[in-house]
Amino acid sequence: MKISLNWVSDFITLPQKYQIKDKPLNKIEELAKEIAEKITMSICEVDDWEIWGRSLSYLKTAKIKAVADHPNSDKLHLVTITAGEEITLVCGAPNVREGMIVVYAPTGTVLENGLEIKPTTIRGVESTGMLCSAKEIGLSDEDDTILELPSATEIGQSLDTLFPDHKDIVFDIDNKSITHRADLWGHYGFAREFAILFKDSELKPIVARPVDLVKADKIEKPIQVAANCKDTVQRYSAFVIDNIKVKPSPAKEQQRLYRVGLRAINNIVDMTNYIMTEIGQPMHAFDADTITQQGLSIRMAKQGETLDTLAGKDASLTPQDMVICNDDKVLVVAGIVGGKESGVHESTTKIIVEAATWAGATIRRTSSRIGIRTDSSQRFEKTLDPSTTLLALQRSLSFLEGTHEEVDYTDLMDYYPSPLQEKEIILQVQDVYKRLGIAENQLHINTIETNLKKLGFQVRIVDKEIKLIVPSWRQQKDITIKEDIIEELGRIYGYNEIVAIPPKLSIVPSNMNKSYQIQRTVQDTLVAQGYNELYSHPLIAENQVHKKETSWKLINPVSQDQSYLRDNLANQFCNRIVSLQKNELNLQVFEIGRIYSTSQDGNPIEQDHAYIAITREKQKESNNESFYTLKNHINRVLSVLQLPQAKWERKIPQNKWQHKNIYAEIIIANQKIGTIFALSPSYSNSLSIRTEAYFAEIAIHTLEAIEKKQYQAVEENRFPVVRFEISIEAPIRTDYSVLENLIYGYEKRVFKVKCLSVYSLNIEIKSISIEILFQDQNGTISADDAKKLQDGVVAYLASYGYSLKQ
Amino acid sequence: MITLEQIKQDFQKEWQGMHSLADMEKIKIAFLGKKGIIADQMKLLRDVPAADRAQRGQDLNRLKQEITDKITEQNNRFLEQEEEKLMDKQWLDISLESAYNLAGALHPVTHMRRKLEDVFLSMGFQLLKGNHVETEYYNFEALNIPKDHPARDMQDTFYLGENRLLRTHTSSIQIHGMKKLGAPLRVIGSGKVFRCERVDASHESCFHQLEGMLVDEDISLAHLKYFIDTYTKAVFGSNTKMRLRPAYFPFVEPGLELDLNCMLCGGKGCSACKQTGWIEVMGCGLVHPNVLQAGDVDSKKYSGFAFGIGVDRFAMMAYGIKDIRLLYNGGIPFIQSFA
Repeated sequence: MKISLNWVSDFITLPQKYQIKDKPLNKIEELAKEIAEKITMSICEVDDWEIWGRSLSYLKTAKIKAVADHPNSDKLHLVTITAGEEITLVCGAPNVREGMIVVYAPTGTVLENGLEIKPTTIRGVESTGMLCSAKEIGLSDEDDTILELPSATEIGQSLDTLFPDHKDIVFDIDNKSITHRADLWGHYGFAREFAILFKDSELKPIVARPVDLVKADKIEKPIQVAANCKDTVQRYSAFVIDNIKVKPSPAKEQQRLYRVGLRAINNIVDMTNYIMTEIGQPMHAFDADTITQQGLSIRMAKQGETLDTLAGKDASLTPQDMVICNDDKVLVVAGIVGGKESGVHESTTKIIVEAATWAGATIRRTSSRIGIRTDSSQRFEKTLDPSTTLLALQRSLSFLEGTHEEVDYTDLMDYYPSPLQEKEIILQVQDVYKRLGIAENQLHINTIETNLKKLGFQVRIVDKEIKLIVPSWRQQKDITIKEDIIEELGRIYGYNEIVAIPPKLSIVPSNMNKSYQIQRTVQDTLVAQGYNELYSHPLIAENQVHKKETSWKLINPVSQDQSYLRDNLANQFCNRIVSLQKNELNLQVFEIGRIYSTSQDGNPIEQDHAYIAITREKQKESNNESFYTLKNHINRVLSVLQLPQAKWERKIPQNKWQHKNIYAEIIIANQKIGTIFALSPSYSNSLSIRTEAYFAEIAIHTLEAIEKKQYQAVEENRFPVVRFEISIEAPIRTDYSVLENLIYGYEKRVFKVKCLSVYSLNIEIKSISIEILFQDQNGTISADDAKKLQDGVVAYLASYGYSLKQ
Repeated sequence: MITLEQIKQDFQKEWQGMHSLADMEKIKIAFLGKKGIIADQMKLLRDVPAADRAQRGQDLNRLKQEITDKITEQNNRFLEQEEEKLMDKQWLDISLESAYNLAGALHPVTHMRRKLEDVFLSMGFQLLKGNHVETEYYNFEALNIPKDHPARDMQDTFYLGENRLLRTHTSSIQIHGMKKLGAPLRVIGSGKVFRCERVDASHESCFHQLEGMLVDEDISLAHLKYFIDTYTKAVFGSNTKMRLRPAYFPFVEPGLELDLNCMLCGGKGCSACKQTGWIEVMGCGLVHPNVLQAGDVDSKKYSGFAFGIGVDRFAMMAYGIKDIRLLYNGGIPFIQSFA
């Protein structure tokens, strides 16, 4: 929302330092920055500002003496002007004529848009300077024609006197920062704040014309409020103004509207926009003669009713939407937008002027549903101060006096069944100091009282207790509890002035929850072993979801490839590997991410999983070493986590995209905590992964429940170990663990079993060299016993079909 | 009986001719051995007149020691030479690396998240986890953002149906935390939050926040400032300049916003900070009594502060990351910047 400093200055006399009228441009730049910072530090956020009036010092009034055709162009003219001396220049505007008073910008002029005018040659004719359109001098957005000044205008004069408002600073306020300040959606609200912000400044009242509005005894066309709108129409004030003529607004008002980003249309429409921008009260004007004898009525819409709105789209209405009708025909969506036929037109002579207060929630709901948002609805949805309606009507009279000799009203009505009650807030002086964290000598009670009074509160301080009556313009939804008062005092005091103090608290050990500790350890151990951490987006496309029945679907996704919450990490992870491999084939990467599903009763299940991958370029004698490397890395992670030794169990995967022969479950304490696998050939091919690639998935949340190893010293056995090495033949597709388990299970004196090497004898049989260590807790194993054990093991294995290598 | 002089001369003669360890070994045995010259002379001591015996004995011992020392010294020299020769045959290029030696790297957001978390954990804050799929109540109403409130515009929400949505901020952790732990408490929670927004260089639909809350008796803005000072200096250095200004959030009152001095221009003004010299980094304030009530905490007895930090933003500022999308799409060289 834009706020003009000149406009605010209508209501407050700023200290000399901040008055910009006679100051040079560079000084104005400095002031703009300073004022913007003052506003940001105490009131709301200033995003940016515009400085107007750059062009002023260069421009002069001039009179057109002659208009001739340009020798080399149909559309251009040679215009001779006089501004003291005679100058001829080239001009392309269609409305130039002899005798016209215009604005002349000589070479060297810097226009409002920052462009500097240089001497040019246009189609072979020299042109020094130019004639200006309204837009070029920052008057309005009209730039098809040359601006024409009144014929009585003195020529050769600077424009200061003609456009006193020309120099201005317009601040762009961040709307989000005034969401809670309905009173700041108009210039007067800022004037109130400036009266506190700038020392030695004085606030003036809004309305110049001191007429007290008198309610009519008898109203020709009374406005009715339906019963179903009892709670949504807080106040509805309106009157009738007759004998008006629809014409352009005065230049000053047009310029002001232009500068804050609104279009001047005609004096009636401009009136409603101007007053809305000035005091924050939106208004509407109906052509009174188009309203039938039934008059206006306010009710909830009927299902199916529609309105062709001024916003350029149709609104389809429901019984939750308030409308203003005549003869049961919908004219306006209340507080939001009028229909094409509700407003005034060129021949209107009599108007009904409306200023109302609507329930904010209703306006917001309707606006959101019909998809139409206007300057009016933006204000109404914040729930405005009902006392401004009559003020707005008064103001409309003085506004129209700008284009009319005399203006009068009739048929004033004011529907206000439940006037706003006074809102009292009580707080202790101590509350202020305690909450702000400052001492009494830093903010004296007298200052508290003065500041609150300046903000418009009625203040009574008795015995360190503060009793306040909240001003009506802060009462609705803004200041309701004592904390709001503390904020008012705090922002005026200045949050940067508060000195930091450490609180006195009890010492307790901090508790990083277990699952997060596990996560950190997994991350660190993987990073230490050379893995890079990736993050991927939790939202995926429909075809990436594994199990649609238990997945979460967004109702309002931003795009179709981010429309589901992921229930697996696999798909994205593999895609990411493919894209990373464009630059590097050998990868070690991982991600710890959350996957989402629903339980039987529709509640969310969120689990953190780690996904780990190693990829390696295929070497000539590749023996899939990287699979064992990955396994090793995972074992180390589990070890650092102090978890018991994991078992790796072969399983057939359920998913087609995983390799049926390269898939194992990782089991700890009889619980499956993860898997390790390769991709199936078809899936690998579909992704075009041409390297070795092995993956592991670990469900972090399952690790929490497993009890950590308790450290217990193992007594070294003083009896010597007997070492025995054998080579066993086994079918090619035998997991070594089968043999190891058999050997361990053979006899309790089997102490350690280790695989030394494996090599293929032919396509069907391989030879595994195994080292077995025997040890007895109670004594040395005799040579005889050792032989018995060795033969025994061999026989045992043979009985299972695993014979010694021939 | 051979004179000492003679032994010495013999020794010198032999010694001149010695060129190897083997030669020296022979000399050692000849002079120092059990059947060596000195040993023999020692045996002949009984033939020496009593008056001279002691002296002769001493002299022989002294000579023995001299020869031993000399041999030991030479032995060491020989060993050194052997050592040198052996080492000369061996050499290694120390500048090479083994394959796959690169250290891995944590993601920059992980780095920043931990940095922030550790500051608060060191001050006794408990770290809570929160669900990403939240109910409307915990994400909005409990935080004093009722339905149809204009403040809902400030956060565009992803909806899942049946009153469920993807949390738009980590603030729901405040309510769960208060309900679970009661007052007094100090908690932090960090993780992913979701906004229904167009993605561009500075906006993502899923990013990371860190939430903090401290509730106790008589907590004030001065206390909040203390924690802000502490963590900003821990993350950005002791010269960090900051400013606090009024802001509106429904869940705090007073509500404030924290700006840090723009790191890129040092506060002079640039395009990153829109010429103001300040970058907005965090919303905070004293917890609104309605929020304390929603957490079953007595707002008459307790007050608290709360804050929410945009972790991704911090990481981008601290590490010079120019495009937020790199956090999800960065290549290995990008991640390796944080090794």
